[in-house]
Order: sequence, then C-alpha cells, then structure tokens
Amino acid sequence: MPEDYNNLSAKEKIRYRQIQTEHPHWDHKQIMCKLAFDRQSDRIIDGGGNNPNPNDPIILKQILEGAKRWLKQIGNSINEYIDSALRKINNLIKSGIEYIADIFGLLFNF
Amino acid sequence: MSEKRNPQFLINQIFDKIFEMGKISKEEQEQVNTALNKELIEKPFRVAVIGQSGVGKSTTLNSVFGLKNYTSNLAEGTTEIIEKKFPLRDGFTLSIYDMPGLNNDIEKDEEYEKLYKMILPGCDVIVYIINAHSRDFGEDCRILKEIVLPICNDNKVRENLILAINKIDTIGENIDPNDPELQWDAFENLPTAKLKVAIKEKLGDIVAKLIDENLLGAEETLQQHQVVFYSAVYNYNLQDFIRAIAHAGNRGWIWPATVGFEQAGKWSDAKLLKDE
Repeated sequence: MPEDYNNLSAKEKIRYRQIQTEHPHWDHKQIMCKLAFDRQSDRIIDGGGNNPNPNDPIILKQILEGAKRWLKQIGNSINEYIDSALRKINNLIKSGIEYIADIFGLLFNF
Repeated sequence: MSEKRNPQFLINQIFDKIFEMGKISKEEQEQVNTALNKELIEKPFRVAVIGQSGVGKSTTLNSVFGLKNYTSNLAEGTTEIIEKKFPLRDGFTLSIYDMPGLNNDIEKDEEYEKLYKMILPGCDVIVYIINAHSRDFGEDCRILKEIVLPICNDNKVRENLILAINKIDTIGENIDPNDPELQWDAFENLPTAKLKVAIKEKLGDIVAKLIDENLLGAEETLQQHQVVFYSAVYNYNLQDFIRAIAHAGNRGWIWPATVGFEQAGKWSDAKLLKDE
C-alpha cells in the first residue's frame, strides 16, 4: 500500500476501507482526497468553525512560500531567512497546531 | 538619517523583520521594497466570482472580501461582465469580476464561455460559488467539467480556482423546515448538534459527487484545499476561505499578506463567531 495509507491512524484505515467499499471505482488518490475532506469537515464543524485569524500557521506558510517565489522572480535571495521560518511553520503544522499567539515573534526570532 | 517607514501590511512587517535579522543592506532593502510596492499597488488583486442567481455572490463579497453593501446586479440572462474596483487601503486595490452563472440555455452558454475565456486567465483568484442544497448541482458539475475547468487548465490557472459551497446554514431547513433542531443556532452562531450531522452528510455527498464526476482528487482537477464550505450570512468558516485564497495560484498569498484578515467579516451584518 502507498506510504500515505500506512501513515493513517487505525480509525482512518477503517474509514478508508469503508469509502473503498462505497466507491469501488475510486482509486487511492480519490479515496485519500475524500478522507482528507472528511477529516477537515469534522475538525471545522465539531471544532466550532473558524474566525479569520492571522496566527494561522497554514496561511503564514502560504504567504512565506508565495513571497519566496516572488523574490526568486525578482532575482533576490534573502530566502534563507524565509526558509528558516518555513521550517518552523512546517514543524508546527505537522504537530497539528492550528493557532499560536504571536506566531510572528516565534517565526522570526532567529 | 532616513525616516523609518511605517510597515503597511503584514508582508512589509515580515520583510522588515528579515532585513533586520539578516542585516540586509539598505540598497537591497530598497530594491525589494520598490519591487514589492509595484507588485502590491500597481497590480490590482483580481477576483472573478461566478455563480448562478441565488447562490450568495453578494453576501460572499460582503462577508469574505469585506465589501460594504455589495450587490450583484447582474440582470437575468445578461452576458455583460461587470468589473468593479475597490480601493481598500494604502494603495491596495481589489478588482472584482462579477461573472454570470451559466444556465440551461445552450445559446447563452456559448456567449458566457467566451466571456470566461476572456476574463478568467487574468484573475488571481476564481471563486465558483454553489449553494449547498442546490437542486441544480448536476448542472454546476457540468459547467465546471465542460467549461470552467478546461479554460483554467488550458490557461494554467486551475490552481487559482476555488469551489465555494455557501449556505451550509440552510441545509437543515431544506431537510425539514419545521424541525428546530435543524435550524442554525443564531445565538451561538453555530450549527446545532443535529444540524452538524446533516451538514457533514450533505458535504460528504457533494464531495463524493465531485470525485465521481472527475472534478476533484485526480490529475488536472481540483484538489481538496480548493473546496471550501461556509455560510456567508453567518460569517462561518471564513478562515478556511482565506486559507484557500492564500493557496491560490501565484498571487493568492497577497490577499492575506495585505488586507485579507481585516476585510473578512468587516461589514457583514452577521457577527463573527463567539470567541471561546
């Protein structure tokens, strides 16, 4: 089985097989997409929805990656600092943290 | 001694911090700031909003983009594109293309397709809005599959597309308008327990249909982060909408990096969620 399947929790593997039974013509990628969406909707709906919040590491990650692409386009390379902030953000996201007060201070405290 | 510039946007604050930490030369700072100014101010942030009558385009623009009293005045059957520019602050301009939604009139579809081909490739974000309890969802799938997605793929702007599922607050009353357990809890500004179950089920059906129609989760289709569900009327789940915008194409990041957070929910009648 693909690696991303092996990384699923036991509960998610059960759900994966349920989806597979309900939609036998779907491939692995499609099933994982449905699983990701279900996970997301559970998180949001059970968690109480989300007010706009600039301390969101996922949005900050997009900002930093966008800024990095843009800097590369203009031929500038202060990207090592952006990369350092991105490494921190990726660790936060991997650990499931969705909000940190003063994420800005955390990211740019070299 | 040069005066310290007051950072205008979040992205300016980020760069200022990097300049400080990296001891970046004044010349290089000037180069970056001048180019950034050009990118943010000289180019309006372009958003196309597509949707059939009644899906909530106006409330979405009020709620998500903070446009006060925006009203979508497209006449029934119009093939006119309306572009409106909104100067927001510090020179940043939002440009909205209010696009008519396609309907079952094949002749009109061809004209609309021409308009879409003309406008969509130049947009930073393309928001296709559907109603969560639409009886016309099959038609939306057809339009996405036959017209919108091919145009986006041909012009390499598929990643700029967001499928926005609005009016999730009305899913319950569509099942049983007389069941108070299926009504949106306006006091808490949250779905009731029973409505939560109904919403999850409905969204699950919508996503399954999108996957079945090869619109989601495969090569050259939408990806999971491009599908958002929300209630514009209740400002519910605007954060995910901002996430989707941030992820969109080459320039989506500019929205939250500038005015995105201050605009969301700014003028809408509905209060934001009660904070915990």
